[in-house]
Amino acid sequence: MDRDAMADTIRVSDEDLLARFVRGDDDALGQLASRYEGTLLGLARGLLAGRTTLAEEAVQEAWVRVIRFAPGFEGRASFKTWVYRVTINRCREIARRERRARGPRAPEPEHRDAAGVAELNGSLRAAVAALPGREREAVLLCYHAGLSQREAAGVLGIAEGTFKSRARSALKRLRRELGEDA
Amino acid sequence: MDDQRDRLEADMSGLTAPVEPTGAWRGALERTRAVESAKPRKTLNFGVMHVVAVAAVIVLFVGTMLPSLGKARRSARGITERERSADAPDASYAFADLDSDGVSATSIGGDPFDTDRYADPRVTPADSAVPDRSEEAPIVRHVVRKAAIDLEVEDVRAAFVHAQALISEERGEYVEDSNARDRGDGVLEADLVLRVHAQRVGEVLTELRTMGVVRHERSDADDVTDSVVDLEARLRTQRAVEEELLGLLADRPDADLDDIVRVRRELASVREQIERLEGRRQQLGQRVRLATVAVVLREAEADPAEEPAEGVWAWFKARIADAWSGGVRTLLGTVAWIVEIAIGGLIWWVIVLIASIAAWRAWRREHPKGLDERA
Repeated sequence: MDRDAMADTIRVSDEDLLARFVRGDDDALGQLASRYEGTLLGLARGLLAGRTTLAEEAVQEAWVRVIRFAPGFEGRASFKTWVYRVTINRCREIARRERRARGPRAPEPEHRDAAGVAELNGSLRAAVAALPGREREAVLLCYHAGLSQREAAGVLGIAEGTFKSRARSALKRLRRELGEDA
Repeated sequence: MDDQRDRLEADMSGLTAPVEPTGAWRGALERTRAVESAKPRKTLNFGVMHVVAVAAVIVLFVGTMLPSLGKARRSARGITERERSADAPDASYAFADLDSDGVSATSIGGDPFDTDRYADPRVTPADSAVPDRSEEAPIVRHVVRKAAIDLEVEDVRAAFVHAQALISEERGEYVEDSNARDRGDGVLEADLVLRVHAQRVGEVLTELRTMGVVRHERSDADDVTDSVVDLEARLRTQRAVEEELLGLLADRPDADLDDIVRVRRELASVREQIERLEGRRQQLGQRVRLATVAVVLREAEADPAEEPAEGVWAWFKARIADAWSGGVRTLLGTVAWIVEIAIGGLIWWVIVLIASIAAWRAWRREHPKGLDERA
């Protein structure tokens, strides 16, 4: 990306880029992806217990949905909130599908990175995966680099206080869980 | 502790740390474009749509019209039957047995029903004994009277008893036949045959008319004077022969035994003839003396539905009125059925509702509602 293009990327809002994409400018979608795809993949990876392949699938499905419904975008929420919501929903669907395929009592698969090496923080992921769904999402979004706490609460459609409360509760559980392990 | 907190929070951030984009958006774009290009154009097959629509209309029309047509047919049949029963002579009047008696000609002499002049005011002069202005002896007419009346009454049982009480046993009147029955649809019907003195026919009919609405009435007179005259002439002849034979026996006491036996045999035959003729005369006299009144009693029926007037428009209006009332009845019946089911199974509905809520909440725990994706 040359200097002018980068400046353009910084200057133009998400909604304007989406509008350009709707008018037929595929590069606009590329610019949106360059803003969000990395963070969305990271979040999806966290929500899907570190399984990169599933995270990529979730994000691609999220982009499919964005592409399909972009012409009907009315700005009820910001593009960022919308794309995060879409991604989280896809992650939920995929997690549900995987749970059904694996069976309700089956253990989570071992977390490996792209090179197939077991992650060092596998115990943390396991503890996060054991959290109730709402608390798991809250605590992951709370420490997600792409969103502020206010934005994260907006994505989940709850009050900021509720969001913080859930995150705190989740963190408390994690400490207890990891402290016992230790 | 602080170290642990820092490490935990740092690890938490690491769980969702951004990763290098893989160009998923490009794959998504290609997939979407491929799907759109492969999607068939949304064109309505009007041929099929038309056929389906026409078929649906036909089914709807036939479904609604067939029961109505059947009802109309039944209604028309009912009207025809009512007309038939009102216009045609009713078989239950039981005249056939009376007419089949057949009276053969025999002479009648000094029979007791000579005084049975027909006193019914409705009898035509020709039926009654009309004094001849000439010097000849007046001709007495012998008439068998029959009447039939079809009554619609409020209470068939009461009318049935009342009609039976109209006869006067002192005068030799009697109930020849009586029958009361349930027609099968909860409607009572009764018929009876009264034998009343010929002079009282008018009086009895007048009394019957007060018991209800006359739907049909008929009276009939059968002049049997010729039969009576013939019967009497034959009787007179046979009696003359009898007297002649008796005279022969009295005048010729010394005749041959064979002759005497032959005359006595002939005399016995003549006397048998006389007895037979007298029996017939008595039977005929009874028929003339006691008139037959057939009574049919029916319960008053609800007013028949107004017959559709002539013309297609009137028929259509009648059909619409029928359809409307039928539809309202069906709707009310459905509402009543729903109320019955709702109230009758209340305890079960509560149980089902509680179980459904519990099941839904359990399902919702497993399948949390997705975030609002409205853009």
